[in-house]
Amino acid sequence: MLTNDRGPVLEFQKRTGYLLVAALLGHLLLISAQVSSQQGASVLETTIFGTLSRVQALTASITQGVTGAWSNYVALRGHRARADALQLQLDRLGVELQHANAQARRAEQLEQLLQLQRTELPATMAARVIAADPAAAFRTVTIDKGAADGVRRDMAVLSPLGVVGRVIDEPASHQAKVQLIIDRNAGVGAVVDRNGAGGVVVGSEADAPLRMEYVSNLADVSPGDLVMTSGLDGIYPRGYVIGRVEKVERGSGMYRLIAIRPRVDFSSLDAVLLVTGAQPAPAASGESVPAVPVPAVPVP
Amino acid sequence: MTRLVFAALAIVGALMLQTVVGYQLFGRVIAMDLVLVVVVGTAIFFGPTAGLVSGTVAGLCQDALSGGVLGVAGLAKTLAGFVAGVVATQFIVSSVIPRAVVFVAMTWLHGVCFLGLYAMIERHGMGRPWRHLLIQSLLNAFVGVVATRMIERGPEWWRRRQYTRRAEGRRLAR
Repeated sequence: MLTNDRGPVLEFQKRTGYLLVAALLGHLLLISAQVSSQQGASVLETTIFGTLSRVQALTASITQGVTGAWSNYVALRGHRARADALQLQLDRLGVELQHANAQARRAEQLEQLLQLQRTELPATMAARVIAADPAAAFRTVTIDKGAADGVRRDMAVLSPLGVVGRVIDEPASHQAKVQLIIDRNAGVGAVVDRNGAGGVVVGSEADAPLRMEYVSNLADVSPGDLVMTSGLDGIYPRGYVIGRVEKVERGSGMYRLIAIRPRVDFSSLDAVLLVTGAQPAPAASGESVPAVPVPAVPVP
Repeated sequence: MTRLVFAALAIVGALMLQTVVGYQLFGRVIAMDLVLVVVVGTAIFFGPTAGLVSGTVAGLCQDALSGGVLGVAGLAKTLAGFVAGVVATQFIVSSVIPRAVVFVAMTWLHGVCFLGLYAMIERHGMGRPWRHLLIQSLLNAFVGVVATRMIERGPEWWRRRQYTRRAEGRRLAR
């Protein structure tokens, strides 16, 4: 055996060896218990998440305080001109809003006339993203609203630009974990806006962080097409923007290989909306529905 | 007890720095694993037992905050902390290059364990992000070497600075 002046090489205390074996076995049991049952988050996970997310919220408020003091006082010099420009833009948007309201009223009358199903704007609750995932392999964020605020598992999370993700695991009292749609385990029922070709959008490790699966090779899909939620998954409301088709290839099997560029910039999420209200019921049989899903957010 | 408190504070600090401060200031651009750096650093300073325990605690915390299976990062970090501790007690890793090698090797060990476990658990696994792992290992080595050097030499540098200031003050007073 190799030795040095401190004794035999690669010989450590027995106690440490036992501890290592116990720790490894404990981890393996923990992993196998979760993998076999798949019944949601364990008590241990919920407790650790509940405790650490409070520390995260505290750290986030301190960081926001420091960055807020900087951005609200120090970095505001010379913003007068920008404020004037924004005021002008606001005035212009006010006029556009009036025009849009008039068009909406007209569309409502037409809907009533044609007896179309209404697409209601679901009730939402605003939340702030306070932390990201500590492991780069996953795409989750922590928000500052939890069970005490009415957040439940599988609630859809949106942003003004489009779909963000859904609440996973049991939320802590004032924090919850959100799985982003770019996570490789996430899936969203989707349709191509132009022709209603349906499929499932899932997260991807490739350059384009989303791909659309189960779209037939016969379907007409081309780069630039807008992809929206179909509402068929029971989580995300219908008609919200997911992204645009970036690349389409003919698959070797029955389905096309479609890469999608998401609309939302997931690298800098700040404020998000949780869908708290029930989404509109699917159309009853015999009732006419719009061929193309109606976007609830403006699409540029 | 002091070691335990120091290691616990370092782990919580690394978690907050990575998940909250890093995200709010830089978004999702940080590729390094600060929690692993703390675990390997603890193992280098305090030995395999401390590395093992800190790896277990840090990994479980990381799993609970992420969307993954609880225990996977825990197991990978336990192993990395233990091996780093054994290497640090058996070899001299006080200079820059050996220490950087330990950080790089432990990042790869952790990465391979993590990816291997997910390949067994999940249908698709996580693929083979070797390029990402290479970048992460180099960043971890850089941050780890700088941080451990600062911890080792910081107090001495501070004492010297205080001594120099006092000596200068006495010289000026005379």
